[in-house]
Amino acid sequence: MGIIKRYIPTLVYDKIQELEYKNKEHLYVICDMIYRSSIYKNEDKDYSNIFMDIPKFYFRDIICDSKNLSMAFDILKRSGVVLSDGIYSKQQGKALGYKFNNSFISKLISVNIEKKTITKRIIINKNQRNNLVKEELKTYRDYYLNNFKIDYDSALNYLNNSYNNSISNLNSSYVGEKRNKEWVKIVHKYNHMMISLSAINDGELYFRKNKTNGRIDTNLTSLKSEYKQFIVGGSKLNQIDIVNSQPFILSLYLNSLTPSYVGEKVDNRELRKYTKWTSDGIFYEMMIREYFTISGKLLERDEVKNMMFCVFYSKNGSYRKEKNMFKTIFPSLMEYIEREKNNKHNEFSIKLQKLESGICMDIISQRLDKENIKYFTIHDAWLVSDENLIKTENIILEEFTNKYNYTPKLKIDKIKNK
Amino acid sequence: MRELKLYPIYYEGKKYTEEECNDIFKAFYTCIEAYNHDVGVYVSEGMWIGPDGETKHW
Repeated sequence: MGIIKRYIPTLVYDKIQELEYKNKEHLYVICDMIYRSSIYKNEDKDYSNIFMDIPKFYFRDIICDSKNLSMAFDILKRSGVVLSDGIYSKQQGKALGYKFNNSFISKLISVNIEKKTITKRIIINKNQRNNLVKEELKTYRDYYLNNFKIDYDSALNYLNNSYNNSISNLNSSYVGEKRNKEWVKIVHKYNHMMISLSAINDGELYFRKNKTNGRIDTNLTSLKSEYKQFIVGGSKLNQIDIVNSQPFILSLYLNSLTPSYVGEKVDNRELRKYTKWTSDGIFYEMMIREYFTISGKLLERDEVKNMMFCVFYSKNGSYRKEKNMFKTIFPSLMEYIEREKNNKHNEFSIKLQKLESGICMDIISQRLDKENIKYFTIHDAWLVSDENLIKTENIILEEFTNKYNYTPKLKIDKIKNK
Repeated sequence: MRELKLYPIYYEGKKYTEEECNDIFKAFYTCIEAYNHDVGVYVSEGMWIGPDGETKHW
């Protein structure tokens, strides 16, 4: 079965060595899971070491024996390493909260897990999750799971430099209790990134098809952009993006409706203008220009981009200012979108996300698989090598033409090694 | 195989229930793995959104 690495704070490791406890690997696994769950369960967002609610089943999936699990928790609590908030309520769905004692917060180190019963459970859990994909996604999944790697040493070096800069800023900016609080945040931030990078390095990759919107979520899709430079082969990789992607996806949706239906609900001239701007990849720039002509106000590109996300994805009634800007230029489109979002606004956003994943994953990526082109995806973007760049571009445009009879503008950026 | 619950989420020291999270965030936060602890969930075109509705290019 081999060895599996887990990551725990250095001071916790030192303390565990002092304890007279036979199953030390149980303690390592629990401590690792407390940290790891803070990444995947999304808590501790500001890195200030707060209690995280973690259901017992999460631990029991790895350490099956309840007696062993209880004993391990008991010793971690008695030795002061782990604190619990002691609040549990089945009715309110509140699991016990756990965190490390502040005095044990320190940079993570890796520990080896060799006990077969534990390594087996960790692998089963990981595989169960990655196997939940349909047959047609398996070519990409297998390629991703076998080939997505990072230059771990360089990435860690970059992370360490960033950590050292933060520490030296901290020393010159804070003193006393405030400094201690900020120090905990910096260490947590370092540890969170280290676990993400180590998961990739250790081959603990995840690949999930999101049942709601059809998107594929992987370690890559949640990787901070500045770490893309460390993807193995990154110096030869190019990222292909759809320009003004979300507005373009809406144009696909509107143009796939029957002309008579659209004619009744949306002004045809408006729709043609919207379609032209989005497919030419000049939507944000034209919005800035036209809004300036009408109102005399100059918007920033990011303002327009934010505005569009508000128009598409927020509840009717919220973000009025942003929606009025859009309505100034596309009144009947705005009315149509509001009607679509009348009952459950989320359903409209999910329709658009499904349309995006439908064309990007189910059509284009599968065509790339058939053509034996190797790639990684980030929802509406593809990473491909230099030799596959032109062929991939052509396939993307061809598939948009086949399905919708028009194409988006594509943007190509080389992944740069810093 | 059981899943961890999506909510609540802690952000900037505040606990957010599903009802308290931003609409746009909720539209994209549909599975735990989609979340990044630094910036929230990926929307599109390099833009991420947090539970409080704050958007970031990251």
